[in-house]
Amino acid sequence: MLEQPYLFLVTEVARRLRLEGVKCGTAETIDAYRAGEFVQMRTVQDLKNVLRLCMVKRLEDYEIFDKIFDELEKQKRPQEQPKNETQGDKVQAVKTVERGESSADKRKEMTVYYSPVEVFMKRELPTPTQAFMRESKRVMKRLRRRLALLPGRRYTRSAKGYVDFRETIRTSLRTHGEILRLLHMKRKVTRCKLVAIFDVSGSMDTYTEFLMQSMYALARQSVAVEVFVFSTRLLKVSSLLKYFGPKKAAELISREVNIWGSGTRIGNCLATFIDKYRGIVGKGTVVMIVSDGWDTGDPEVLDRAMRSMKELVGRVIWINPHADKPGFKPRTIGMETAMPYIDVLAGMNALKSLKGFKTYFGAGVQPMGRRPVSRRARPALP
Amino acid sequence: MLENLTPEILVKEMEKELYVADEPLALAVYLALKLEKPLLIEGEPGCGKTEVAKVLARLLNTELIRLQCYEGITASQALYEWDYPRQLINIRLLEDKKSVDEITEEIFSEKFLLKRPLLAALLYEGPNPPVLLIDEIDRSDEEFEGFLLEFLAEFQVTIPELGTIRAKKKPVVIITSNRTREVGDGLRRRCLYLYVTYPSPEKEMKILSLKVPQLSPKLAAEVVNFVQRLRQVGELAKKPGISETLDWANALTVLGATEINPSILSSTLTCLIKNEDDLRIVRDLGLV
Repeated sequence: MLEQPYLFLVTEVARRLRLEGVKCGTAETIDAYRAGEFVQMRTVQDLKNVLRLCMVKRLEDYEIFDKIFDELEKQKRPQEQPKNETQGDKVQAVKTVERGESSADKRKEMTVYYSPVEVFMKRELPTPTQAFMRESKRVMKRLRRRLALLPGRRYTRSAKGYVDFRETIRTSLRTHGEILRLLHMKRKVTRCKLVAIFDVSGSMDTYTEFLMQSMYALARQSVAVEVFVFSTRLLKVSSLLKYFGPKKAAELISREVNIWGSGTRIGNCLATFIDKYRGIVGKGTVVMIVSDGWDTGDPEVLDRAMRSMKELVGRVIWINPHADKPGFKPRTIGMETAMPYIDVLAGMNALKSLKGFKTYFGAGVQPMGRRPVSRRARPALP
Repeated sequence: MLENLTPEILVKEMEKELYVADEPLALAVYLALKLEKPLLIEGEPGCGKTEVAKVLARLLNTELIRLQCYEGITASQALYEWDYPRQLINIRLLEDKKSVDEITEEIFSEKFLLKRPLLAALLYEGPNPPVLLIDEIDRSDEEFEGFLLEFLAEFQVTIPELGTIRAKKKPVVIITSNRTREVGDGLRRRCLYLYVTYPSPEKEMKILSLKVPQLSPKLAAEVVNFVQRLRQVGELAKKPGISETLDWANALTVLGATEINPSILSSTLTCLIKNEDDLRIVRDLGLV
């Protein structure tokens, strides 16, 4: 049996982790407790390592854990504190430097971008209704099917590929069990990864509610969906949306990004995306950009970013809220620059309902079965 | 060896196998062994995630069974498959001699079972449990991850024709991920979690002295210094990992270099940087 203080520490850390929104269940607590039986903890650092190993399952949560642990440690032994504390701090400092960002930095960044939050917070953001979630799920499922680029789990008959023994033997019955022909199969293309990038700058202000709701619904669809938001800078929000309710998530997002503020730099944000997250996209990925294309940045930057995007991913679709209006022409500089690299340009209705979706992605509207030929202009011959 | 193991002994033993483990890593491996839980290691490419499993297998004097995940991997590719061609031949051969029931019995026996890594790990016979490495889990699909959850929870597999097969000894499971996709919560919950990152200069020096002993300490220091500086460059798409450092150090010894001068640097830089854009960035910064 371990002594009481250890058990207390474990449960207390677990409680505080949960308060911060970190998923830490009973299984983790039990692990941490059992680990205590096996490890001789000589220093505070040992204790910290053990608890972190058992209770924290994400890199993003390391920082939260470190903070909680240090706080508890400070409360526990005020006399011994100086020696241990400096040692702990040193390790901590080294670690954060290695990871390339410190919490102090992050906080500073937060305050810089902490501007028109009040405007945002005053607005009542309704929780998405069940019906909305259902419809959104249907639309997204259809979208991912329609834009499928990756082979799924099922097989289909084909001229070459794996040998389909099941069918081969079945057809052989017609010839009294004599196999005359080997039948082949291949995987059916049914899936894609989806990366949705939402513009949340001032010009998209009127669509706030809908945007927040669809972001929320999207992020909770599947692990193969990642959600980003940007205005003047880019932020990955998928896990945030997965763990918090829509209200809390909206609050956290607005705190981190200069949300609904003025000035969009689409080009720079997309460039950041390519820089930082090129690992998560591939030829099987569909990138969905939701923006009106009002760009205050350099069109040259946007052009370059869109070109690399097009090269990196399978398909690029652009959802522009104004595209729903009759007689819409992509006239903003941002839109004009991006147009050559977009596979499908659709209006917001495409995300709202299956009916709207079909007007943009329905059969016969776009040749989606095959990868559309790039419409990029060829360089003129000298 | 498992009985009187402590994290400190583990560090020493791993060093004998040419692996420099820091405290958190040794602790993680130690607890994974003791608690009999899978260990999920995430981190930058080339930082020794896969190597942990290899070293551990050597250390435990057991077999390393590796399941390399990729997009579209299915249960039958990871678990088992019937050897259809052999079954067909046997049906033909036995057609006249045996009854249908006897043939069925014959062709659905263990002889005709192709053991893929997961089943092989369950059926492994040896004094020590095998080390099962599930590499780059992030490349597989969600469905496969779900299937894996079931396997990792029970360590048993049901084959309709043969019945349920249980692990003789629970394998030591190491799962690695490069974070190209977020690994689901279910899997995380079942594992101990460790994030490995680029090593500190001291650790990297130690690794170099172990792995490339021909390299002079002075040159090793220069190598480490340069690589560490390279990792500070934020714009690089792929920062050099430990494996790149080792490649470079090996290249330098082969070339018989005694110091890092601009000419040798520009001719061997491709060991560290594997990307045209990154090469340009490094050149523009004047690091070369």
